Amino acid sequence: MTLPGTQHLSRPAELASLPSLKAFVIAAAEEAGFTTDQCQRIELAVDELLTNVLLYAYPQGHGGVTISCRATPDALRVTITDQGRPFNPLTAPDPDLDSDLEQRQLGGLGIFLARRVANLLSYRRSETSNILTVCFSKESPEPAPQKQGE
Amino acid sequence: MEVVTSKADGLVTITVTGRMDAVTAPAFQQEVQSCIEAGERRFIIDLAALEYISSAGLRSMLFLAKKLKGCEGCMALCGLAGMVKEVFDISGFSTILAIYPDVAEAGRNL
Repeated sequence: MTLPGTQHLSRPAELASLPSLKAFVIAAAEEAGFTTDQCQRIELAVDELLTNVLLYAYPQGHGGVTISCRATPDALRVTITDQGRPFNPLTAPDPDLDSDLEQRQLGGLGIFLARRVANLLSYRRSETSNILTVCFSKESPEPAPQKQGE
Repeated sequence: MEVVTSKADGLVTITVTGRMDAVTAPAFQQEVQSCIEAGERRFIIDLAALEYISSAGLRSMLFLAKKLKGCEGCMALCGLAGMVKEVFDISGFSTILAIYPDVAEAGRNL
């Protein structure tokens, strides 16, 4: 179901699509009245979530990714949908922030950063698709993971 | 993203301009790796003109720092500000990488 005021962009799920997908979301955020600082945070969260999809959703071949943006007076909801292998990025463990240089692992950072700068992050799997929803509020300066709603 | 490399007195300064994400980080990583393969061991990574970095960029920094440590080299970052600094801070990278305010200070400590 497409809600009024929702914009969509579909691209092949490959790294080369990242700039245009990010530009689409940033334009929607600017249009919705988010500040420059907020747009940077939005870009970071969307970048991290999208990069995971572009790199890992279709290990055997090609597929697409669709990004949808819907602005309400106080928030921006971004939905990232792909038809790739079932994968819930929110179950990934946090990186160990206390390990030293030798012990620090290379992975795990993307979702951690996305969680830190977004207000709400949720995932569901439909029969065919991974659906990742990330919401950004204009009001709260700090992420509020428990916050629900529009 | 632009990467400019300069060398003086056995010290390589890599100046990065623009935005580092999964698309552009490989070019940065490759440039530093090429210098390491050519025998260089002391690096300053000047990020004063870097506007944005994602985890892909952080991973490159960590990869290079580990690689240099493994061959008795060293790497210092400088010029972190704004959102770039914030990303390094919240990821815990500010405590495991050598970070200085500017190129001069980084050079004195390498």
